[in-house]
Amino acid sequence: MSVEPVNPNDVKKEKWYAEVDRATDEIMRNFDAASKKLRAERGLPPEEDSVDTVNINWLTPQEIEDFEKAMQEEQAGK
Amino acid sequence: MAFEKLKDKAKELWLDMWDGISYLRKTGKEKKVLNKLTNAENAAKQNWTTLQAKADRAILFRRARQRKADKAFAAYQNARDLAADARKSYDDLTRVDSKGRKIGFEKYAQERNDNRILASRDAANAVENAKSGGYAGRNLSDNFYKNKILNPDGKIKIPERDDKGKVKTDVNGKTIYKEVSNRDYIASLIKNNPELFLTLPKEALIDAKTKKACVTAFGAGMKEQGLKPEAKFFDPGSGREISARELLDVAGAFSRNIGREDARDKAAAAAATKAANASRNAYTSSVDEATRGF
Repeated sequence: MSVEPVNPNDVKKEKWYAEVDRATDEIMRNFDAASKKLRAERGLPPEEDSVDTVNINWLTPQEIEDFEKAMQEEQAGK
Repeated sequence: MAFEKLKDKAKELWLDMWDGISYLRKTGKEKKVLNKLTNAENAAKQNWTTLQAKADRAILFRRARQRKADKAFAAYQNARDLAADARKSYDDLTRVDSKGRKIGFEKYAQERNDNRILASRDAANAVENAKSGGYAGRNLSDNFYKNKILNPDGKIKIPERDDKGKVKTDVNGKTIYKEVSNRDYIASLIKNNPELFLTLPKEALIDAKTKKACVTAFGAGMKEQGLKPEAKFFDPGSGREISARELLDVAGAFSRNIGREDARDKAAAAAATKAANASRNAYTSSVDEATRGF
């Protein structure tokens, strides 16, 4: 029986990705707690719990540049 | 088996490479190809440095813009208080002139051409001007941060581009536009520059969808942009380069402080109050001085 060789870089990458996931989970929990506090202070209703996933249409660097330009033009009243 | 196959493939590639090098040597093209490779590598390095510098400048610009908006709003609040005081002083102050008529303070000063009183009037005008300036600053801040960034569903049209980045046009040669949301824009920006996550206005995090998009973008960016924990980022808070792992820690601390009034904010508020009081006292003294003896 042959054993598939494991690339040490892949192992390192997986560990790093897991670390990022743990940190982002913690950040999300902190933001939720802060949002609850801020909304309560301002008498706003609690956030909807239904926002489990969010679809992001990632923009390319070129599109980001176009967006910045369009925003500046709108700001200048063009 | 798979390993054996891979080994064979590697050997094949290795031999191919040597065949290629032998061919280049035989035809005398080796040096030419090496030069081309070196030039390409240098050009890539140069491009990377330029992009890095551009990104750093963009971050600094954002921080400066936020500071300016905060400063303008604080100035507006101080000026509003001072202007209210000035207006009240003018409305309250009436004098009896030489003919026994009750007239307004300013008219009285003009009649007497009293420099001290006129100086006081100029101070009040300056306060009014500061008030207008403050309004402009506040409006700028509101427009940018509330209408543009804090309205995550707000849409704006940008030219549509093909896979090669070329602007798409219709049959008549007119540019085709597509709508993008502020949320997607912020998320994409953070994905490309995860450190920008730390410059988000605190209020932006009230919207759950945007909050989620920002955190998702931050995580995706940390994985994609900085594949290694040692990858370097520019921390806008400390103004120095930090590693990806350090950036994760800083972002964690940032998230813990969201919504909290930290010591630095309190110190800034105290300093602003002190400055406003000093200005108000100086103005009151000038009016007292100007009206003494009447």
